[in-house]
Amino acid sequence: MKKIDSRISREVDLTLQSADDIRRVEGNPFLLTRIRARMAQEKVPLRRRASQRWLWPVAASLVLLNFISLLQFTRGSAHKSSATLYDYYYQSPEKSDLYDLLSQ
Amino acid sequence: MIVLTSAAPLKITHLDEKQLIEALQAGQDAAYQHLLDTFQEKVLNTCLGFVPNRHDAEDLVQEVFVKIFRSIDDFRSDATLSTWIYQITVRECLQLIRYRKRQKRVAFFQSLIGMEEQADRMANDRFDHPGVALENKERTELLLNKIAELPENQRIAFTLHRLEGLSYKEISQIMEMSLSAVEALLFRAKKNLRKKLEHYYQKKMI
Repeated sequence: MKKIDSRISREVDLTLQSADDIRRVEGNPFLLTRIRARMAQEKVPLRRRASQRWLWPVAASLVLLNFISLLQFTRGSAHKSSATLYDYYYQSPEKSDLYDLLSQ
Repeated sequence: MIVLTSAAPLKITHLDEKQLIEALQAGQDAAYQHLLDTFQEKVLNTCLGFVPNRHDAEDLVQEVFVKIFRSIDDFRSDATLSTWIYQITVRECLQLIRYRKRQKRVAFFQSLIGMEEQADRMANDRFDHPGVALENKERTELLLNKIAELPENQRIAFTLHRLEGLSYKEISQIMEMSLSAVEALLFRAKKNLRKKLEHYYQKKMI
């Protein structure tokens, strides 16, 4: 058991020391060119993001319009309009013509 | 918005930090090149400490410098330029790590319902540290994996100290903590790391 413990301890030490063997990595000499290209590319999404600022007010006004029309609908104008439609459909001359034609 | 011009109006060789920041804020191309020459290697090696994959680390370096160039106007001299750059680097690395964790979770659920994209996503996570020799690869990969399992603060402190070679004082400035807090973090990080490695080798040997 002692032998295994000392082996474990040795392995742990070696693993911890392996951090010293990591070499420094050199950077990319053309990074500035890449960054410049990247920043030029990103001009389009930035503009698109700015136009998205209008999305919320437009959405809010649409919701408001919907709400107003819903209010008008529940105050009785809808009842009237449906009655008109009903009258038109069942008491229109077209309907009676059709009725006459079918009854013949 | 800062525009990077291709013309180099001045050649920068030795500048103090204040002059460099002024030149950067003025949008001088040579100043950007000077900043890259000075800090690129540090940023890249720090990124590799957190994300040991060449491709990811190079993307991160690019991301870090884009952030630096964009926000150089907001830089205030209450911290040094180096501290500020390390802070951005660490933040970007942690963001990528969190994003990858989320991706893994999604990939796991996708694999449960039969969508097999997991293999592609895991390929991005592969250990590919260009600074590690082939004979040390297994050990170093294990070490970095175990460092990744540490709590976030311990991981940052340990990576900056042990892999990047920063002093306690520099780490305390980057992490905005007291010196004693950094000492305590590093002590706990070393203790936890040893425990994790012991546990790993015990499992492997017994």
